Amino acid sequence: MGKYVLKRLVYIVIVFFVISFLMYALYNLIPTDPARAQLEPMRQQLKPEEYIRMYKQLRKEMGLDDHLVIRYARWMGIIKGLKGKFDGLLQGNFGYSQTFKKPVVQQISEPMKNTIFINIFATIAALGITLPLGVYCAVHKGKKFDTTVQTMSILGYSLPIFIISLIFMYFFVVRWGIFPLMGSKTPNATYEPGSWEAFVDKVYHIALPVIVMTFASLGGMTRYVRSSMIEALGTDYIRTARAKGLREKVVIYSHAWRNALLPIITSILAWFLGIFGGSVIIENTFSLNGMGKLYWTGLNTLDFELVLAIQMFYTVVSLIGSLLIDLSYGIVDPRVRVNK
Amino acid sequence: MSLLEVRDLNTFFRTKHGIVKAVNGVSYTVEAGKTLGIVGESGSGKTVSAMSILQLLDTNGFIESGSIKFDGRELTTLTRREMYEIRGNDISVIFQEPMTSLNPVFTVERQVSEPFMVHQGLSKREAALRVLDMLRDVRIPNPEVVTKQYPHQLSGGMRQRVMIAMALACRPRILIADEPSTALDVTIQAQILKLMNDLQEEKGTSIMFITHDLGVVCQMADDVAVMYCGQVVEMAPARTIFGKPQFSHPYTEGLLFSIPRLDTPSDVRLEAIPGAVPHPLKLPDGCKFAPRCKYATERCKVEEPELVEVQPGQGVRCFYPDLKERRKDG
Ligand SMILES: Nc1ncnc2c1ncn2[C@@H]1O[C@H](COP(=O)(O)OP(=O)(O)O)[C@@H](O)[C@H]1O
Ligand code: SF4
Ligand SMILES: [Mg+2]
Repeated sequence: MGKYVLKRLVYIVIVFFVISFLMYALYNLIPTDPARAQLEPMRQQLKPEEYIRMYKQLRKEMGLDDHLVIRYARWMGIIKGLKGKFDGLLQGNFGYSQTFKKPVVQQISEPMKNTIFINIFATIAALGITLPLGVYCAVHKGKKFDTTVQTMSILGYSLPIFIISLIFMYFFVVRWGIFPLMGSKTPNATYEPGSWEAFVDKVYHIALPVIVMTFASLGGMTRYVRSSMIEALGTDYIRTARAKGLREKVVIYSHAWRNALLPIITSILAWFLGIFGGSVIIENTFSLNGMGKLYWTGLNTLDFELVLAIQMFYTVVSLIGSLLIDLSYGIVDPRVRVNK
Repeated sequence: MSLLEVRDLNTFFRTKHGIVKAVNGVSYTVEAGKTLGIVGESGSGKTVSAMSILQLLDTNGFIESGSIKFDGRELTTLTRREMYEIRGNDISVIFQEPMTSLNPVFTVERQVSEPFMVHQGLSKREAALRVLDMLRDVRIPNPEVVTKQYPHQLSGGMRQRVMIAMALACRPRILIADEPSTALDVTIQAQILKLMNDLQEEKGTSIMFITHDLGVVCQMADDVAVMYCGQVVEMAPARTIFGKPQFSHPYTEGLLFSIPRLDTPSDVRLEAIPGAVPHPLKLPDGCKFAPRCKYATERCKVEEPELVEVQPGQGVRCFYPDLKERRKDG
């Protein structure tokens, strides 16, 4: 197991650097010029030759003319930056947002908390519902309950998430008035940040988006859990387990479930990322102050460093996700963990 | 009284295309300490008839009628709970595919322990000790190592030994062996068969040995039931079938011809039975074997023969059971 974990870690680190380099290179294709942006206000006062000279000077100071690899290494914090010290992503400096005129770190910390919060809530809620539901349907395959769930899940899974949002908004907000329409907190609220009231207010605001996100992922996940479990229940070793005289409960929840878990674990990562992807739309629909919304703003204003930082956030989330998946896979499946 | 008596068993499956009558009035008996060989081509209902005994049918299958008496006790009317006590305790099974019949995520110890724990109430630790004994009994080298291993670390032959150890854990009265050696290569197959014979001698277990290979039956069985299209077409002691029989079913005769023997000259092609097993939903009227039988007459096509006792201990489901007369006429 130790060797397996080490291998996965090395792999994750390599993937992190490869992806971050590709992202960096890709976003460098965006035609923005920070040097020009900085000189723009002085343009009127300067003679053209002077402007050009200062512009070239500034480009050099900002390191814009260096090779892509050098700039990447500086940004990442692998080599010393322009001010002579390591000051990059690895040191916690995510760059400067041109749109908001402040360091990216300051700009993203609140949205990041919100996004992680709603996504983890939605994932836990979705797993909490779909795992038992899928297993129950598999065990009672073909019965009325199962066919009803199957039909409904097709419906849930073919509706796009913004339609689901609108339907839920209509009922929960307009008709029943249970939840607020949008935003992450009550405007002009007078509680201390970090207090219990603040938390309650936040939960109250994100409840509906979380419900929508959970609902949107139910269909696909239930179907997947159901089919994995049905497959496991049809195997020869399940027949062996029954032939031993094991109770049906043990056969299902111990012998079959452990095996059905393998494909499910693999797809949990995809679900989790899918939920994250869905949250871009959800945050915009509900005007939530989250990473998805910020990302959208950054893209629209060509805010290179902001967008890149958010992109790296998504990369790290998926890498950590995949590491966790690999580790749990290793725990569940001896064929991965134990060599011949 | 026989240890196991199956009488007029009918086991059917509900399918989209209709009721599949997989087992059709089958009767056979297993005597204490003896081996019954059940032989027939693939699809003849061997597995279904055996699984009916333990009520381990697929969910679309059901026992339509018939009686299965084990040690004088009717099994078909037992409750689910009572059936749990029989399975793996009084009657055990080993299956054809050693590669897929063991659970890939559990150790050998865990899997072989289970029968001890559910049927004898042993603790995990006590069971683990008994597992080592069982692994030794089935001649697994280094049982202390193997017991901690997972199925994927073992060869096919080893896995089948583990299956046998698991099946024999609670000293069952009957071991149902459903093609236990078919998936193994020839030398391993011979070892497994020898192991089963040895264990039967040591423990006195009765064996129901299912195979499509009459050669293997000859090596293992005391009595033989030949199945075709969900029916028993011949029932006889092994020495009758493999001796110089006076009576025989044409299907048995055909199967016998297709066994390679040491004295078969290598240039003689083995004569397989021509034609194929009919589709279970399109069974012929009359004798089910008629379309492939070289002795078939007009009568065979319209009238179905009964299993009749042609001499004590031998039953044949054919209008013309006497070999000499049949050959003369045919
Ligand atoms: N679950 C099932 N549904 C429908 N038909 C089945 C099912 N299981 C077995 N059968 C049918 O029962 C017949 C006997 O099968 P089986 O007992 O497995 O044959 P054998 O073991 O002799 O090869 C076959 O024709 C097969 O198609
Ligand atoms: S009854 Fe007729 S068709 Fe059937 S096995 Fe006998 S001879 Fe052949
Ligand atoms: Mg079979």
